[in-house]
Amino acid sequence: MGGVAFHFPLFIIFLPMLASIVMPLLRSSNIARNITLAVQVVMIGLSLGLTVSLWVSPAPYFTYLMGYFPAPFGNEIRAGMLEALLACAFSTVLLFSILGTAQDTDKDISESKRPLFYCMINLLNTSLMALVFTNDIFTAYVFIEVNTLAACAIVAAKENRDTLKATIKYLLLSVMGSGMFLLSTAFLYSITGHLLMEPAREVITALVADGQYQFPLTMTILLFIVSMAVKSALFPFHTWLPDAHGSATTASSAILSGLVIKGYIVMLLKLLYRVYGIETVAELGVFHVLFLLGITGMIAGSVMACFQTKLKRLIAYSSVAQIGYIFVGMGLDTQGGFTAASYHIIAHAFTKSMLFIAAGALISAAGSYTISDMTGTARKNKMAGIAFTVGALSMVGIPLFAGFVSKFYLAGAAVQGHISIWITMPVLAISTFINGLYYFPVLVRIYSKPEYEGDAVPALPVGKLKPSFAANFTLVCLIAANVALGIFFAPLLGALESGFLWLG
Amino acid sequence: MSFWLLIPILLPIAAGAALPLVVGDNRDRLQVYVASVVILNTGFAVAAAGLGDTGFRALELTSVINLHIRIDDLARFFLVLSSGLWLLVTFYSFGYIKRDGRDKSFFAFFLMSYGAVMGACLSGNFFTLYLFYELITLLAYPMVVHSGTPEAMKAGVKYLMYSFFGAALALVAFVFVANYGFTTDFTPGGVLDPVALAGNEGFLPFVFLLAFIGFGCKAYIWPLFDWVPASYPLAPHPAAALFSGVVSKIAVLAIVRTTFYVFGVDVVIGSWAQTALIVITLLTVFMGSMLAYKEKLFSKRLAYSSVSQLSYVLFGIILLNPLAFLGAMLHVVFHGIIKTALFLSAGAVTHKTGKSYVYELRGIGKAMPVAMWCFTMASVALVGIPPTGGFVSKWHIATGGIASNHPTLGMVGAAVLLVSALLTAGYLVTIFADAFFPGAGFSYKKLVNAESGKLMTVPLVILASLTLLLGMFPGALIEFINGISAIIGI
Repeated sequence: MGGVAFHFPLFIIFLPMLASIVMPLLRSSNIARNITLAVQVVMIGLSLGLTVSLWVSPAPYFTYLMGYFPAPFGNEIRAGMLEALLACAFSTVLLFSILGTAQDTDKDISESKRPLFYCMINLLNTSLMALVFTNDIFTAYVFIEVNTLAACAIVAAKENRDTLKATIKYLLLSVMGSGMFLLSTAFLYSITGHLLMEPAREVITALVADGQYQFPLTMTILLFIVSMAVKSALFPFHTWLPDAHGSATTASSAILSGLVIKGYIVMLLKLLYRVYGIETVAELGVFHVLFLLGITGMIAGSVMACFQTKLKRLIAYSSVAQIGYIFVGMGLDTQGGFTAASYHIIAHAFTKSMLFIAAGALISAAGSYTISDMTGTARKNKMAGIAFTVGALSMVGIPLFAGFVSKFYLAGAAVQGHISIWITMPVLAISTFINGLYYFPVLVRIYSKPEYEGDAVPALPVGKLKPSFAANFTLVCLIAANVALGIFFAPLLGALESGFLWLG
Repeated sequence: MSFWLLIPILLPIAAGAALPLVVGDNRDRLQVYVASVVILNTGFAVAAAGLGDTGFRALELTSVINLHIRIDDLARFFLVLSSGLWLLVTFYSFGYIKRDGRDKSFFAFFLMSYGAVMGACLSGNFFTLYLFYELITLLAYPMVVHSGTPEAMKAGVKYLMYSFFGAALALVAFVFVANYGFTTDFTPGGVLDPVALAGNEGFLPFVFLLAFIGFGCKAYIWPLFDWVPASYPLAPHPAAALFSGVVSKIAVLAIVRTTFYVFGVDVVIGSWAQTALIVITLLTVFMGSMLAYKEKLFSKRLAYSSVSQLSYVLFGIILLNPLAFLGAMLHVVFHGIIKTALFLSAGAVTHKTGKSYVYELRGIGKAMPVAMWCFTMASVALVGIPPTGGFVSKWHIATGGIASNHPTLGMVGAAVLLVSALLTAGYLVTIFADAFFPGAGFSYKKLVNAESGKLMTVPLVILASLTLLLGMFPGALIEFINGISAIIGI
């Protein structure tokens, strides 16, 4: 692996970091936004370049030594197909999440705070990319903290009582998660003497083979899992998510639900596969834990979503269920399950951000957060209505949309196992049905004619009603992405599969 | 040649999507446009049925997920039936649907659903069938909630929920077959790979049961029929007629495909799933008839009647016996025609007089002789009085049941069928008896001629005479169905 693409992962991490340093110096929020968008475009280019060069190169992945210091002292970046694809997907989603929600951002966040808001988004982006690419556990910890604080900041950016409460809850739980991560890292370091992932695995494999340190090792894995589960809002550690994602401004909701929680899942994948190694994890029975947590999350998230009266909270609870899907895929402990899970990470990133952006538009069309006030909003804002419909249909699993592919391959992986078949298949059917149970009434309502409802439609300022060109453009792109993911999934799945082979 | 098969699917979908642009606000142009598209497409469908066994693939994403359009005898059977009924209902709808501005969206979705139904008929693998099955659910939804009232919306949500629950169950079967079958293309005798399946055989009857009940949702199988009485009375009568006459038959097609072309007779016969489904279908037959007998709302009574009648068909299928299969397929044709006729005549009455309860219909036969005569003919056929169609089909189902691998349950089934026929007589004969013989106290003075226009009566007369004609001369039909059962090897 040579050439300039070798340095791309480093650029991908540092570019948004530089941008975030510049942001507070800016006076104009429009310039801040435009710089952020430009950075995103460059990052998409870089990650595409990285993907292509990995595709053509004979080596499946490469390790990049920061400052060329070798292992015991140095810090490493490692990039393979999976990382490159995730970087690509994440930066695209982030670009659209900022572009499509500019109106809401301008409405929700005061002019003077907006450059800081974009500063936080850039920091979030840096830490996300660092989590994707780093090969060092302690670096991961540092960026997890950065990520947490930035995420809390973009929730709190919309200053009102709800977001402050949500931020405090989010911060407390998140910091607890970070604490567990640090604890586990410390244990691991004292057991193995390494913080880089591959050397740590060598020691762990040897220890497991000797039968030494079984209990502490199991505890470190469990601590890692719980800490990542808290941060990725896996049921029953999800309690912060609906508050935070449901109350934040649209851009934050889309980014948090679409990307930030995925970053931690990617981190967990790397911990399991690269630090512990799949055989060790399987031997310690950890996959069963992931599987059971995932199954519970699938059902519980969907059921709780049914009881929501506010649109954004409904979508947030749906995320809890979808995270469950991803964990089930991981917990199946097969290549098929892993591929389905990582496909779902990408598919859900696109779908959920689209749903949040569309929901934001519908909310401003209705002038209310409550679903019962949404009657006929899709008739006012046609593009948002279509995007929400596509997102909902994808979630329910209609063929030719992204969600169908996830479900199909997840179920396909589950059907191979003797026990998982009896659990996963009925649960998948039920959760699909419950997805319909909460999305369809919303769909019906947003397309209903207002005159048949008793309550009057609140009058809105005319200027707010007209969605900007950028917002419509974003939604069109995201709809196209969803359909493309639902139709041209075969090459992507192939690439993710190869990513699985070289993740360890 | 084979890509011509796409035309009957794509033409109505494209025409429906383009309808608002083409028609504008000109109501006469709407009728001409819709009528010409439907006539043309029915022509294409019949022409497609005339092609030899052929097929092609499009959108080949993987070996499992691809669009496989194919025509064989089973497809021909459902293609001709659905397109014929759709044509008749189209003209009736012109007379029925009010020209209130929302008729444009009704007919747009009317056309698109037609295309989706054609697609389901012509699907050659599980994915294509599942895709069009979901499309039917979504595209037919606006017809169900056409009136736009809050009650109709609520019923529409119920319809969506039940349909998607059914589809989710079918999806489980799809995933199972995709992983344990040689292929997912419909192959007579089944596609499952016993070697790959080793160790997971125990799951097989369970998956079959899920698929049967899942697809059976649109064929009103217990426990998934509750959306029918909720939504049909609130939907326009032509939409209810299409659901009962055509869409439920597509569900039957899906079940026949899964039973004989995916799982295969050998897998199902003698399994606990077969026994369970025989019991469930018989239960549904009985429940539907009882509920219909007790129901006072005209179209709701017809809806319950459909619940019962469709389970005759499903019972005939799950017996896995050539005689019963013959009866089931005959009943598909007869019930399709009869129930369309019943719903359309009920619609004619309600549309003209606003009466929707059965006890309001005394003497209506004098006011609307054509509609009520057609209703009478269709009722007699549904009860199964020879020489009408219903007798032929029920006779074969009952004898097939006794000859099947479950003779005891077959006997029980014959008894249930008989009781249900009596109940059918009970809930239909009383209606037309009262309509024509209102009793001594009835005053004819207030009576005015309320007959509907030709657009509505002519399709009705055609349907009513078909029930009689096909019942008297079912020979060709029987031969055709026997050809199918020879292919699938029961």
